[in-house]
Amino acid sequence: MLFNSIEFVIFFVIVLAIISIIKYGKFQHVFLLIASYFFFYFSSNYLISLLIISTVLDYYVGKKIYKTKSQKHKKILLISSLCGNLGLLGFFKYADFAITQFNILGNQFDLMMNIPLLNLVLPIGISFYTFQTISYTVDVYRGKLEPCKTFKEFALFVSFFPQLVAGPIVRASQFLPQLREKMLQFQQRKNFSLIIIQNTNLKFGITLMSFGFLKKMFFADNIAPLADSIFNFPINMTSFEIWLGTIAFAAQIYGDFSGYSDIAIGAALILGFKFPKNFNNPYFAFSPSDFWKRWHISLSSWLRDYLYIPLGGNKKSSTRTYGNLIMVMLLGGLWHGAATNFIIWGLLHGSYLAVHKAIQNKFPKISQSFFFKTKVGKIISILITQYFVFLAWIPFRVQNTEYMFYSMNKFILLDFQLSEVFHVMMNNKFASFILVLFFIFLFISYKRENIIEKISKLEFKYWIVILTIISLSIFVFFDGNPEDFIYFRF
Amino acid sequence: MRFVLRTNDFRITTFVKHDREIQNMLKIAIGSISVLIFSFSVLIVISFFAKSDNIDMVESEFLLSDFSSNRTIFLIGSSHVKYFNVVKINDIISEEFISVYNLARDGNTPIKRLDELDQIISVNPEIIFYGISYRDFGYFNENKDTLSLYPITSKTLNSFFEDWLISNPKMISIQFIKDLIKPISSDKITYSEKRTPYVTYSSDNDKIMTNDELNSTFHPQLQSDNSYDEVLAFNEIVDKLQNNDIKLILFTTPLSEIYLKSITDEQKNAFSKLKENLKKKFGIKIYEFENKYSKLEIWQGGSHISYNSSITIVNEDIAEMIKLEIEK
Repeated sequence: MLFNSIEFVIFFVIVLAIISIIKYGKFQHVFLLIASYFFFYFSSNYLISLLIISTVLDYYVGKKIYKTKSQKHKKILLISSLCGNLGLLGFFKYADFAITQFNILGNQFDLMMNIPLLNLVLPIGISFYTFQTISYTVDVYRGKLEPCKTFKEFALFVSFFPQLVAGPIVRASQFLPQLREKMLQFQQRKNFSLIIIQNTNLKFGITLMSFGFLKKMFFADNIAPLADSIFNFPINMTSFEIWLGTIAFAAQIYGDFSGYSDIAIGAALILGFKFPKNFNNPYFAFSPSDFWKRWHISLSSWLRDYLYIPLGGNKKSSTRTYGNLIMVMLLGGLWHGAATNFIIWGLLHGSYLAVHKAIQNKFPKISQSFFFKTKVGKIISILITQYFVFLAWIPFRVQNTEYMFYSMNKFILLDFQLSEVFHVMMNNKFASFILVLFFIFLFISYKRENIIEKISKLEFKYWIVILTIISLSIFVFFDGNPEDFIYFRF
Repeated sequence: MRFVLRTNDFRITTFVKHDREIQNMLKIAIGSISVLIFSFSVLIVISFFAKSDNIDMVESEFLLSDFSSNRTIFLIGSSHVKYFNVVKINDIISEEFISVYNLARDGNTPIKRLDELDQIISVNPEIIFYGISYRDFGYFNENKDTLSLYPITSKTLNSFFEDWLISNPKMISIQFIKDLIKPISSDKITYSEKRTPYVTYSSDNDKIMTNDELNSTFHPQLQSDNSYDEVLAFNEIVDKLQNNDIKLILFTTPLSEIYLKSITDEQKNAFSKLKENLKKKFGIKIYEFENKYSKLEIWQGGSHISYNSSITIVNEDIAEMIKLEIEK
């Protein structure tokens, strides 16, 4: 079930209506769980069994880890959980990629073997929910979290529908305390309901969801044709055309994914759960590490806590730190998909982080210089950072290796031919216009912090006017052939 | 809302929340729903304006004409077929009692064509030439057809809305805005063509794009999940025509090189398999034009040849195909 579909709107309204009408806490908990499973079943059919397997595995392993005294046994249990989760993820996501590489390698050594591909369907959301369940088991193992007492508590954490299929990757330590507090209040009879829909949450949640829909359906979907027209066949394109395509894709993917996150966070908020921000003006980041504090925050912080730090983080030698950064981002790239382009994307970002860290270590005076604290210095560092970030979007968007290297080459080595780019813009007038609007929208969001929250606190009549403008923009300029959410593929 | 309960009898004893808070919540909910309804209504109004200009009436009138004096040949299909010039084709055939009509419609997939098939049959044409391409079957994927991952509910709901809403609000809205500012904008002149009742042409259709222009404007269409239904509808069309003794000939419509490159091997294989099945099951002849002109500079779009009068080769080939079939 896509968020930008009529099914979701109907589903969400029904869920809210039933929760508001039948307020008894125990019922609400079970109902929310059933609704979440239905939501997943609607998109994935029988593949829901994988979600259930992952839930059952980590629920029991988590309990066992907590009860076991022996550190060795705890470790064995943790490894079994990791093998189960990563095994599922690896099998469905990487089996065909591995077979292809194996066949290529075999052909190079004239082994004349050709293992047939499995052609597996990638289960929707598997990359997200396996990371969530892993975070739970690891946190229990580290003693940071008490395991769930009931299966339905854990099952709701894993399957909670707003974040189920494309994140944000909500950790157990972020979700379970909120759920437990609600359950405790219910058990102590402080509250009759488990889920209490509050005015402020409802208004803020609706505003956040509206902006999410606007980013996805008005901006991203209408800008997509411009990026497609350039990157579907970029050969013979000039440098500025490639730049335009890259900027369009950067806007598309940000609108698409941050829009999805806003809808998810807004829907959860209406139901009384606060999810952390997943994006924070990433295109105004002034360094590669700053970018990763602003882009897909739930993934980057997950990779930091469950991969980078266990690998040694920056506590070992400098060389090891750089290696860790590259390794983590490479795996982050592979998390997006088993393809060469994602490996290149991950390696590029890993290299950016490593080079940035090396500059900080070798020339501390540069990074601390007064110039970079001035307005001009900040603008320059933002532009340099975004140049590299946008360059990395090319391998993310273009899968064909020949097209990818051609585009990257043109992006870096300018040919200064300007006329063609205007031609492309004239052929995609509407998309170009929306692209300009999008960057104005981004600039306003950056300059006026928490603008969405401020809008949600406006007087009712002004709030309704803004909601109407957003809603009309979406309905009237809705593309009849919308793109799926990009992150559904991962 | 907040309640305090007595555990023994579960009676609600205290009602804490203010009425005002409930009123506010209702205000927010009703306000939001009203915004949705208002926006939806605007969309319906735009749809109405867009649909009021449709061609259903013209079509009915056209098919009520008298076709009995001549041997009637129809070309049918989607916009891919629109670009065949039947005036030229009739000239090339130059047989006094043979009339070729182009009944192409923009976005005309088998499901839509099936709705109007009875009217076409009632005219009793001698031969129908049906131009098919990938989009007619929504880039169908064979695996997806045989093992649908999606429960039927989503399809039902989508088709319910598709039936009474315009399929692409964006395009209609942009056109609507253009129409509003018509007096101050240079509007394109559209014209109709003889024996082509359902579509109009403009100067855009006559344009021949250079390869660079084609590369910069082309973007492939998305996969549809109606493909299996389209195949079923297509089979039904063939069945109906054969039962009414109307000869049906299929031909694949021409595609440009860039379009062909955008099609995956999986899609190509599935389309080939579909054609093979049609040949075996119904014994239909299929003429192949898909790759024939891919490298020529004759394109108005990725899958549309230009309507420019300088392009004669495609119309000559279509005329040749018709001649061959008439003479049989």
